[in-house]
Amino acid sequence: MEDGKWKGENGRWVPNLQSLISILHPPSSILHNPVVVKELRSRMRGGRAFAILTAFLAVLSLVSYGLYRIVGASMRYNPSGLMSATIGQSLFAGLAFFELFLILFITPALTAGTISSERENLTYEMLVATPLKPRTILWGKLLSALSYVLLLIFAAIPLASLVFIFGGVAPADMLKALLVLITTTITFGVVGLFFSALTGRTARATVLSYSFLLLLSVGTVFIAVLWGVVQGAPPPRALLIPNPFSAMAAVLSEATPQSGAFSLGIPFGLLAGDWRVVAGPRAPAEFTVRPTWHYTLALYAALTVTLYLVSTQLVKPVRRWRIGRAGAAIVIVLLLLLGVGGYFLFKPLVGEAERLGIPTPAPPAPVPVAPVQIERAVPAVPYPPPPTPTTAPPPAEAP
Amino acid sequence: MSAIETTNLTKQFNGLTAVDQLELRIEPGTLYGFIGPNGAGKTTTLRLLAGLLEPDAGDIRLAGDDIQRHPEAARWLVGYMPDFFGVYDDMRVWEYLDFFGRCYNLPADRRARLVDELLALVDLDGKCDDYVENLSRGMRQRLCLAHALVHDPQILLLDEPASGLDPRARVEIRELLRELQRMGKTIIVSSHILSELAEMCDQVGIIEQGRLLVSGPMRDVRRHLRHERIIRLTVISDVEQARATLAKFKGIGEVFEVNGGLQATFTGDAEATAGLLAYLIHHNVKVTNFTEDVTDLEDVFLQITKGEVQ
Repeated sequence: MEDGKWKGENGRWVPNLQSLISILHPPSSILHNPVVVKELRSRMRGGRAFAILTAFLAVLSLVSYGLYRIVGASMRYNPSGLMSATIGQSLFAGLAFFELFLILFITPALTAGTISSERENLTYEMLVATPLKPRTILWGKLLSALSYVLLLIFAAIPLASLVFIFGGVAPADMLKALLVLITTTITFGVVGLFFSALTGRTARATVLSYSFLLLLSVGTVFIAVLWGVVQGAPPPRALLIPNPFSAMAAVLSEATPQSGAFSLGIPFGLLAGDWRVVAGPRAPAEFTVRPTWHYTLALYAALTVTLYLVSTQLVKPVRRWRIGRAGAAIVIVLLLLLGVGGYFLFKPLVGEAERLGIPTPAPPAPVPVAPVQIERAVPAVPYPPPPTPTTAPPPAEAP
Repeated sequence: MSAIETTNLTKQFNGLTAVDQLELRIEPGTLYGFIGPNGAGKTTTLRLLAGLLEPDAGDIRLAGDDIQRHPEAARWLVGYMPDFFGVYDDMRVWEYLDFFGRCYNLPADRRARLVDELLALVDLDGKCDDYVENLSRGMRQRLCLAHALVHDPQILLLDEPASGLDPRARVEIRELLRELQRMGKTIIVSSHILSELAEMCDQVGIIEQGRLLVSGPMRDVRRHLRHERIIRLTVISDVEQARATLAKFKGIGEVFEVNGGLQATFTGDAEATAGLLAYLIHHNVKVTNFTEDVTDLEDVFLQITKGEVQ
C-alpha cells in the first residue's frame, strides 16, 4: 500500500472513509484480488457452471431417493418394524459419503490445472512480471476454484436437511459432517494446487493429485486390512487418520452411540476406527477415546498449511526459498497453534493416557486366554479319532 | 543516468552460458534493436532485465535502481512482452486489459479510461467486447503490447514483437513503436532479422552466444560491421571508360558490370565515398546514379556472427 493513501494534503494522516475501507479490505483481500475476479468471470460465464451445479444436485437427489427406497425395503423384513430414525441416519450417511466422494473427484480437477495451465498457455510470465505477489496469485487461484466447490457443498445443504424430516440425526452431527467435508475440500484443493505448481504440467499434476488422493482414501484402508491379516490383530487407528472417508465414518458413528455405526454394520465401524467396534466387547463402556476425525482435521490443517507455504515458493519466478519476515512470523504462529492443538488432541479425554493404536484399556482377562490354548491344541491332536495302530499317519503331514 | 545499465551480466543454464558478461548501456528514450540469431541469448537477457530470472553474476540497473536489491522496482519500471505468449480463454479484450490493470492495483475509474486509451493506441477499439482467443495473431500481438503499457512503464522490453506477422501487421507494430518512442519510452526490441530493426532503431546491439559483439548507433555498427562497402553507379555512356577510371581509385576492389551499371567493393569511410564521387565527376564520368548498397545487411550479419562462432 502506498504511503500517499494515508496522507492528506499536507502530509498529515487523515482518517477518512476511504482509508477505513482500505483497512477492512486491504488490496490483496478477496474482493480486490485480480486473479479471483478474472477466474470467477471466466468460470461463471455461460451455462457450464450452472449445468454442473444442476447435475450435482440431481445426482445427489437421485441417490437419496434410491437410499430411501432401499432402507425402506430392508426395514420391511426387520422384526422391530420401520424406524423413521434409521431412515434418517441411513440417508444422512449415504448423502455424506456420496457428497464426499463427488467432492474428492471434483476438487483436484479444478485445482490441478490452476498454476500449470498458466505455464502451459504461456500466460505465466506476464502474470509474474506484474507486481502481484505469489501468495496473491495462489490465494486467488485456490479461492476461485474452492468457492465453486463450496458452492456445490452449500447448495446441497437444503437437500441434506431432508434427513431432519425422518430424524435420528442431530444438527450438530450435520455440522460436524460439513466440517469434515469442507476441510477435506480445502486440503485436496491445496494438494491439487501444490502439484500444479510443482510439476507445471496439468496432466502430471492431475495424475499425481488423484494418486495421492487414492493413496489416502483407498491405500490406507488397504494397508489397514493387510495389517489385520498379516499381524492377526486389529490395525492401529493411526493408519486410518489420513483417510477422509474414515473421518466421515467416525463423525457418523459418533452420531449413534448405541449401535456404534448406524445400520451399516461392522465394516463401517472398522473404517471409522470406532474403538467400540475395534476393541469389541473388551472395551469397557466408561472408557472413551477421541474419535479419529479430530486427528484427521488436525493432520489436514497441517498438510494444507505446509503445502500452501511450499507452493508460494514454487510459483515465484525467481526461486529463492527465502521466507520473508512476515512469512516467518506466520510459520511460527502456525507451528505454535499446531503444537497447542496437538497437545489438546493427545491429552486424554478421560484422565487416562491414550495411544493412537488400538485402545486396550482393559487388562487382558485370564479367561479369554485359556480358549486360545485349547484352539492351538486342536490340530495337534490327530483329528481322525480311531487311529489304527499299524498305519498311523506321519505327524509331519498333520499341519 | 542510463535507463538500462548492465555490468558483467552472466547467466548459465546447466553449465551452458546463455548470457556472457554482457555490458549494456542504453540511454533514456532510445529505441534499441537487439539482434542475434536464435539461441543467442536475447530472450534470456530480456527476462533478466524484466526480473524474471536471477543472474548468476553481474548487476542490472534500471533507471539507476539495482533490481536485485529492489525486485519490486522492475515490476513497475518495465513493461515486458514475451516472445511466445498465450491468452486466457473465456475472456473479453477489455477484461484482459482490466485484469492487468487490477494486477497493478489501478483504481477502477482510471482502469476504465486506461482500457479505452490503450485500445485506441493499439487500434483495437472496435474489438473491445470480442473474446481474446478469437483475435488474429497480429491483434493479439498488439493486445499484448497494450498489456505491457498498462502501468505506463518507462522501459519496454519487447521480445520479437513482429515475429510471425504479415507485412502489414509488421508496419503497424513499427508505427506503434515509433509512437511509443515519441512518448519518451526506452524500448528494447529483439529480433533475429537485422533489416527489420535497422530502419527504425536508433541503436542496435548484436549478440551471439551470449556475448555482445557490437552496440551503438546504427551507422557506427554498420561501419564496424564491414570495412567494405558496395558502391553501385549508373552512367549514361561509355561504361568501359567509367570502369577503368573507377578501378584506379584507391580502395576500390573488384568492379563488376551489372545490368548496364557498375558495382564495386570499396574500402573507406563516408568521407572517402564523397571523394570517390568527386573523383568520378572530375574525370568526366557521366554519373546519373551513385549509391552505397545498404540493403544487403543480412550477408554482413551472417559474415560477422559466423566469424565469432568458429
